[in-house]
Amino acid sequence: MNARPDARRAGGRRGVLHWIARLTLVAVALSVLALPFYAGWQYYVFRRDVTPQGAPAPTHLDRALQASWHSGAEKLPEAAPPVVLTYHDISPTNPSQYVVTPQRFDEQLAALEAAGYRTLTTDEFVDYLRGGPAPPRSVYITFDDGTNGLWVYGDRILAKHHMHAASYLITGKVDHNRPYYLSWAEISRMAASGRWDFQDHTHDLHQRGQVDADGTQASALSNRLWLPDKRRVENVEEYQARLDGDIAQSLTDFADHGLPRPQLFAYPFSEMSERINLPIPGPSLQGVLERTFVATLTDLTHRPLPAGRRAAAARQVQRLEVFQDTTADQLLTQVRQWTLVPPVADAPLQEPASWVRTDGSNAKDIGVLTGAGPYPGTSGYAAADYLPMASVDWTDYTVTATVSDLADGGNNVNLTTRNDSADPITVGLSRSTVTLLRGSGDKREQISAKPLVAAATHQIDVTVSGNLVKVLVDGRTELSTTTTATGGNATGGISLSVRNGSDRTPWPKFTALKVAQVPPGAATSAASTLSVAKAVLLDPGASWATAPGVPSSMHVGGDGLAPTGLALSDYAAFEQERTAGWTRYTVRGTVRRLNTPGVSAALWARVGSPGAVSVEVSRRGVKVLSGSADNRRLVASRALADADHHDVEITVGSETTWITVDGTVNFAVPAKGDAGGTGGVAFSAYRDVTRNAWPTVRNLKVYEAAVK
Amino acid sequence: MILHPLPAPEETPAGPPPGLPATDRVLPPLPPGVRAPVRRPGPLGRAMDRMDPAVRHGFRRVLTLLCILPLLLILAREAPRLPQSPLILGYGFVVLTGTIAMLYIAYSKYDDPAVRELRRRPRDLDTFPPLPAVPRVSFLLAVKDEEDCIEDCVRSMAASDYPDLQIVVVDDLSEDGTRDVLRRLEHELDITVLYLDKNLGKKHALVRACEIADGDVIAFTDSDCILAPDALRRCIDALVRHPELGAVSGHCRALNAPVSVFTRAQDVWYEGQFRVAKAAEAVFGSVACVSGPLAVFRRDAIYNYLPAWAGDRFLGAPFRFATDRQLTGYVLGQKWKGQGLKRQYADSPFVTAEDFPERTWRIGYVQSARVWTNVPARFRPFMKQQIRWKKSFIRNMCFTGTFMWRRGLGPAALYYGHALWVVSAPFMAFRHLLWAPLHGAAFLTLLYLCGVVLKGLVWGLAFKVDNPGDTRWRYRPVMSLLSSVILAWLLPYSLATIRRGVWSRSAT
Repeated sequence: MNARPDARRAGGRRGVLHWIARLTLVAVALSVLALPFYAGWQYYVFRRDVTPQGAPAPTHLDRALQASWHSGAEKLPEAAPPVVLTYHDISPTNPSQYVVTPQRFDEQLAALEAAGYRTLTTDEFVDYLRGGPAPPRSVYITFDDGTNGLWVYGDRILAKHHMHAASYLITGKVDHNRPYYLSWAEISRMAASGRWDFQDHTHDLHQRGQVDADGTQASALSNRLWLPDKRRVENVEEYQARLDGDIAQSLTDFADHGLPRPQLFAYPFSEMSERINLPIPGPSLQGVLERTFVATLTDLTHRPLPAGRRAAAARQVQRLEVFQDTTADQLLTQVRQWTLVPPVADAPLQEPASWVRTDGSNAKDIGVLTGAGPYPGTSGYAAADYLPMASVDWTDYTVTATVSDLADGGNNVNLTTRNDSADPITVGLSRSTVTLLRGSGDKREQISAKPLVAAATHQIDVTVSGNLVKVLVDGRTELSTTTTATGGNATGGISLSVRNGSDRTPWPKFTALKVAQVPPGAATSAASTLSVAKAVLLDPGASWATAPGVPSSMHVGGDGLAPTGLALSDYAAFEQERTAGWTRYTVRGTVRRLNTPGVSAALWARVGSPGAVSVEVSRRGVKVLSGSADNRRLVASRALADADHHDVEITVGSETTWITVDGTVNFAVPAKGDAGGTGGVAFSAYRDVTRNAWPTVRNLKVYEAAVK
Repeated sequence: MILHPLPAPEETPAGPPPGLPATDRVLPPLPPGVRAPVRRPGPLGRAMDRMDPAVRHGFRRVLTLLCILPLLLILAREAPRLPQSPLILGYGFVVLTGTIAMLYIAYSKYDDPAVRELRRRPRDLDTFPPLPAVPRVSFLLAVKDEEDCIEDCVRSMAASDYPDLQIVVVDDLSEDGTRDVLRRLEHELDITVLYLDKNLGKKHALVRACEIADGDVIAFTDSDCILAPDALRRCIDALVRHPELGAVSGHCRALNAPVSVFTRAQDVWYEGQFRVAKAAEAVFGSVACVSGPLAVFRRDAIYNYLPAWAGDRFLGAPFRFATDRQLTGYVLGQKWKGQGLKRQYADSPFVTAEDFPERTWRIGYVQSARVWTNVPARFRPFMKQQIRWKKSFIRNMCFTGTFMWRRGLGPAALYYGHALWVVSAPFMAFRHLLWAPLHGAAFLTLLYLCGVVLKGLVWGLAFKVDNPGDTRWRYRPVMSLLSSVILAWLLPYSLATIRRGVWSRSAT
């Protein structure tokens, strides 16, 4: 009855197959038992780390609005530097102004899509910053902090619009404070989708810390922290070590989770201002970051730095921040304002909307610049920038401005080029002076200045080309300067300002303004040609030189020239380089103070050419000579009625030089071969002994002549 | 959810008013598929029968796990979240774990000792005296006022196909027509009837029967039950094949199942209590209650303790209930309690006649031994029965609970786990049905009720597996709801009124 012995006997017969079967069954049973728990754990981890995504709500867009976005695209450049947008989080419920709703985000992307924008990846954006060509019309969407809303809401909306965005992770917060921040599991899914890439937003310095004994709180990234134990702030080495350690840890986290090394860094709080106790001189935060990153991103900068050559040179890019109440339409408008444009504007003064007042007035219009008012008072100051964001990359352009109502004793205007660059250049203009200034605000310093032929109205031509800024006032008075800043550091648009220093004078006004592109290298530092028509021989700003580059000591003023030296002869040529091409003109003047027979003076024409002509008069005679001041030969001479002054007039034709003295004595000197050539005018004076006074010339004028 | 803490059915409910004794009645029609071998094994069953026992066991284990895989998935799904919200998930989690464990043990490890040799045998098997190949069996029945049922019951006893059978019926001073029925049957059948002239109570009556019982095995049934003809033989078979078994329990279902929703639900519930709960206990050889409808004991396992059983006292007074639980307790715990009990009743002829050594008997459960009992068809009797069982449970906790931990980890886990479950049920009912909705946590109430229904469905499906053609599995969730919503409150009530039963001698 007892079956036990049978079992034992049976055991003896059990073969290998029996044990294999039993072990297999045990293994299968254990698997069936363990697999659900393994799967349960995996599912739990999955659910814990990967929040279910919300389906994007259908968005109803106004058709008219959509059409306007679509048609607005035609005015936008096909290729331009991208505009960088900052978002933080997406959530349907969070009331913070930094959090947009999924619906709003959806609308914004729809608007960008309709306007023909594409979105850049970080790699594409970095390529551009490194000097690559501007991409097709595009934006670069960034999200700071790496919050869960990006995965839950943002991802599906990006997918809907086939767009891309970059998330700036606080790597120390990933997987923490769930579900507020993203998890690595979500991040890897986002990265795998191709819709996202990930950049750096510190490892764990996105916080404020105590920076002094009083407990002041400030950014832990940009400040040395207070060490309560040691009763002092961190020293430079400790700060540096903390910073380096944080960045290194952040990079390690990226690498540990299979993400490409970040190339860009976004400042926490997007702040540049919370710097309280960084040592100066000392490590620049930006400098430290530049060792690791191609560039940094921030929303607030000291000067406009939208993505472009200037930002690339500064290695810092300013972003356009999107807030909860930013509508799709507003966003599109702002992006348009941030889109860089070429330096072409036929009548900028007719577009008040393109100007931003910088005088602190908050006024929207620029009537204060154009004479329309309203003015801040009977005296005062007003200024405005033209396209402050869109013009940051301007170079190789010329600005032509006409200024009126300049008055004696106290009003003036400024025209700044290379605005907000590393080396802004300002042209200051008053009734009788033009000044060239370097720098901005109160730190401007004068480079050079020239007197002008005083007038209430002046025209300024400023050419910005390469490293040169060249100013021509009234086509006549020329100033120029070169800048040491190069490339993106030297680019910038224009800014105007008007100042009225006295209650008795009117406000000056810009009556015309035009910006045009010039070919690169079009302007040189060489002096430009001065036309006969524009020339004013007694222009106080004009250059009279003894030899090229050697200014004459003659007094130029009143209505004439008067030698002042102690020598026996004096010579001064008028703007010889700029007048080398002169021909068909008449120069006339009255030589005076021929007090003794031993003094004489000459008027010159065709100066600089081998056939320079000089007409030298003394009390009783006139000689016509040919050749330069150092080597003249007599061509003709006549006697004159004795007088202490004689009128001399020389008319230069292409083949003949006509000379008239006192209106009665005429010469016609053929100008062929060595006797011909083009050139400007000069004046020379001679005396036999130094005790004799110098003769002078008065009523010296030049004007165009209608001769052959 | 659930399982509500019932020990297996135990006592004969008070009988209905006397009616006329029926004559010449044969056995009533029993549910189909009873007399024949329960079920013919299918191809899979036949293939498994041919397997080596160890391989078969491994195979069953895999099959069982696959069948309870959905429950494992639910458990695994919630397990990692448990530390986060232990208060919300903890209870359901523990209950689900217990259910899974019990189902797993019952279906993967239980073998019917009448069909096959058990796999787990004691190390000291040789110390258990084997029974004769065909031991003499005394089949005892106590009856009071069961005029309607008694004839069917006694006839089914007499119809047993066991060869060497002594049937003793004790009439505990019935006041209806029971005595007439018995007198008639006494003449017709080969049975002995004792007519008591004083109402002694069930246990005393049975002890009187034991005085004249001369079998190696003593079997009991209840007066409202009907046995399958082979039921007793199968139990004896199990005892003979397994000398370590001191007692076995039969498998009981409701006789009057078709009467109402109520009885149908109880029928399904009985199946689970036996096929799953008792089977799981039987795997460890420690069935905590050998049920009254068919309780088969070896004489040497109980004989010395019959006076202690009959004279059971609780809280300083004789205790009427807990008949089968207590008797089972003596078998389970005699190794530790036996000496003391024998000393206590040293003068009793049951002790002086022969001193059987105290052994660590095992107790089995014979699934193939079928017996049917009448279950309360109406609410009030049902509640009365439940309260009685609760009181029995409380009394027995104070006896069996003192030694069950000595019988090993498995039996202890099942027994004390069950006890904890019963004790916590009213607290859980309060927390989920009253406290939670009042504190705005109606979700928790919903979760609780969903868990109750889920567990009911699980047990219902287990019923369906064992009874493929039966559609009554649908009533199992009803029983679960009933148990958790109403029966859970009975424990405190029973505790409060336990002395009523202690002293009450009138058996109404």
